[in-house]
Amino acid sequence: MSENKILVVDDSLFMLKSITFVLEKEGYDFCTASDGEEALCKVTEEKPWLIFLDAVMPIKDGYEVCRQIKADPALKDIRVIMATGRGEPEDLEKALAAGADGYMLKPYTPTKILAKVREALGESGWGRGVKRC
Amino acid sequence: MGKGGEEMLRRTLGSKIGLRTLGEMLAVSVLPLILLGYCALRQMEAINDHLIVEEERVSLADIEAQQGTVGASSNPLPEGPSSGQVNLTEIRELIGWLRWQLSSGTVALTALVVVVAVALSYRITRPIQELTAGATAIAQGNLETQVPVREDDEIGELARAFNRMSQRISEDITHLQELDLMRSSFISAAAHDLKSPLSSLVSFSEVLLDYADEDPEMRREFLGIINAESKRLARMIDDFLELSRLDSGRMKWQIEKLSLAEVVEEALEATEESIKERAIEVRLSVEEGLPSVQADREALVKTIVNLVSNAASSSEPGGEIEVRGWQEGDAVRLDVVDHGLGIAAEDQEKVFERFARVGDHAADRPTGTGLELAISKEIVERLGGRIWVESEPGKGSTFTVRLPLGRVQPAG
Repeated sequence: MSENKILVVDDSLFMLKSITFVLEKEGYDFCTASDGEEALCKVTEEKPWLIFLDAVMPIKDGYEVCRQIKADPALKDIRVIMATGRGEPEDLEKALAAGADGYMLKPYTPTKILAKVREALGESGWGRGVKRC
Repeated sequence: MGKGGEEMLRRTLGSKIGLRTLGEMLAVSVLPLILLGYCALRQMEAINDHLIVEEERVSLADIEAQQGTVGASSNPLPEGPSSGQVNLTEIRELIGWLRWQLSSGTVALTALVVVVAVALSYRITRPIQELTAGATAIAQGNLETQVPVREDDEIGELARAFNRMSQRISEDITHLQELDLMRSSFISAAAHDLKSPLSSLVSFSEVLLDYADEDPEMRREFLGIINAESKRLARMIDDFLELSRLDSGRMKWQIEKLSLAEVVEEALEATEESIKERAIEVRLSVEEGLPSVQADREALVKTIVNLVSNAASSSEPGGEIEVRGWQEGDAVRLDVVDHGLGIAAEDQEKVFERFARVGDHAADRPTGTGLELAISKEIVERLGGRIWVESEPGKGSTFTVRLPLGRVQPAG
């Protein structure tokens, strides 16, 4: 598992642009995907250690991608943080049910992403419970 | 009838109207009967009295005859006192029998009338109670309540009318609930989609704040994005409001006779900038002298603007789009053709849905609001026309609007 790469998945190219700009400035390695299929490809290719996953995307949604990642023994240790749309309890439950390690509310910003990255780096193990951004 | 008796009767019958009806019926039918019976009985009594007097007189005459003291000029007597007595006894018996007949007849008739009165008032009371129960049930929320129709009379008619009313209310409310649900999900979907440009605004402004002095090139680009997305957000809100107005039928349309050629000109002027930006060529071929179309100018222009923008964003930069207009039978037809990505068969219906997401070439710089085609569809349909798309993936799409000639009543 590559220690450096962070995968950012969002169907909005603008979001990807702003986030990758900031990640680059802060010296993190990253890769991006715009839909669920592409995300799964990138996961197997690049083996990131942290994934920011948009919940609602065309072709395959974030929940499905998360489930598939967590179901795969080679990939299940990757930390997955889901970005959900409305912040309603059902969304949180869905994220947890899919196996997410954490979640963020949309709209999320580069600052939040950075905070999450630092938090993830600072934590010694996972399963610490869901952190709210 | 004392208060206690009234109370008991009311409880038996179960209703005030029943009690009243019974009372009235009894008054009307039983009273005369009783009166008649009483008079007849009185007369019988009178006859009886006379007979008794006569009988006494006969007995007296008998005794006097036996005693031989009777005067020749006094009452001439019938022959044989026993036959007189037999006659009188018979008559008395007859009278007694008649009296019994009259009394029992009156009683029986009264009883019959009471039974009939109760049955009749029940006949009125029960359906009224059922109607009341029905109305109460509806008031409590059981909208589909129906009452039984028992007779083919005025009350039966009332029951039928009630059932029709209840049916109608139930249908209307169900319809309204569906509309309300659709409206709620429309609002939810809108709020969700509005977050998209909003996210961009927040993200890029934040980046500019945190990394402002680093890169003038980046600063310009990001500010450009903020500007464009803000405008797109504004357009989305406008479109959302427009659709909302169309939905509720609150548009203030002015239907006038319009020339298709003029309307298309106006639409092309409005979209000039975005067309130039992508270096799109527009081939215009609207027939001369087409009969006027009856529509609201602004709404029709907006529809065509939407189709042209859509065609432009679906085309590759430097590509070509066509706008054709001609008469087809009793309608005017407008085709907007692009040679872009095309739309898959299963998506061709969906493209007119609200917040439809169909891929376009301008994905890196989204300018659409997701509502343009939905708005166009609403407008065209309210003008009595049809809008549809024919497309082949990889070859391009043709959006067609067909507007009937003749009087238009905008379906509000």
